[in-house]
Amino acid sequence: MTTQGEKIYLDANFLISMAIGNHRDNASAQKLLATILINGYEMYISPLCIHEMWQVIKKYEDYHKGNRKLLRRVNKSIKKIGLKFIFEERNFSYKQVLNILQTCTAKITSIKGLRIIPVESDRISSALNFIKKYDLKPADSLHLSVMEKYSISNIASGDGHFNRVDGINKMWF
Amino acid sequence: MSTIAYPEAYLGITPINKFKLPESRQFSSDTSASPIVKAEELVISDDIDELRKNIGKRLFKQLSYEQKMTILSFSNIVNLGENVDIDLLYKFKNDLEVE
Repeated sequence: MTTQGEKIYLDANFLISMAIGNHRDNASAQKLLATILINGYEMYISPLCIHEMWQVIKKYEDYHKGNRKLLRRVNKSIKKIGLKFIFEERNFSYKQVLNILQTCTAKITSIKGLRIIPVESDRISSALNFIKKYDLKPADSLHLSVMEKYSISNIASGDGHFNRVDGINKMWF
Repeated sequence: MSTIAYPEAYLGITPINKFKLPESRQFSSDTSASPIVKAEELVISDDIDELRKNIGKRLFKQLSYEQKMTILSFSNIVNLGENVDIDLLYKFKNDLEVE
């Protein structure tokens, strides 16, 4: 069976696993991308994928370079009893991590053969239907409704929630 | 006394054995390869080795050079210097959705 020219949607967790070098799923995501390229799939993402990726990268920066979990808890407890923080808050704003976000986005959007499709307004009601039908999270149901609009029947994802969805071919990494 | 380091090479008495030369002289002086290009080539070759290990020989052989470059340009864009816990990242993401 040939898959040449078939469409595949790249879920945000796939992009994250590929983009973050020391991600524990990096090797398996590379393996899946190799399979996608060898089989000649057309790759698609939407701005939603980029949005999720930005969130995760920023949160990760906060976690590893900002305050540690324990410090945050201590600060929270101190705040509750009305005292000032004893540890400096060091979480980042999106502006502070803008360089990383820009680099990451520029590299991903310049990948040859990767197309970015829009999320149009008629996807909102479709997404709500998917939430109702499959009990999906808002982001997942929006991804699915975009796939529906552009007749994309394959998805590269590590998200088990898509298991509940009929009619799409899931390619796990 | 001659001040030429390798007089036999200039006089054509003995053919040059490049392996006897210091590493810095193992390429022609008129080469167009700059040290930066050489360093980049070394990095790419390391990345390609890593890719071969990650995806296995069978898939690696089927990929064209361009496809390998596509995978490499997609990989390792962000290196945060520590191992990433995907469950933790998704916990963050889920927390955001709840908010």
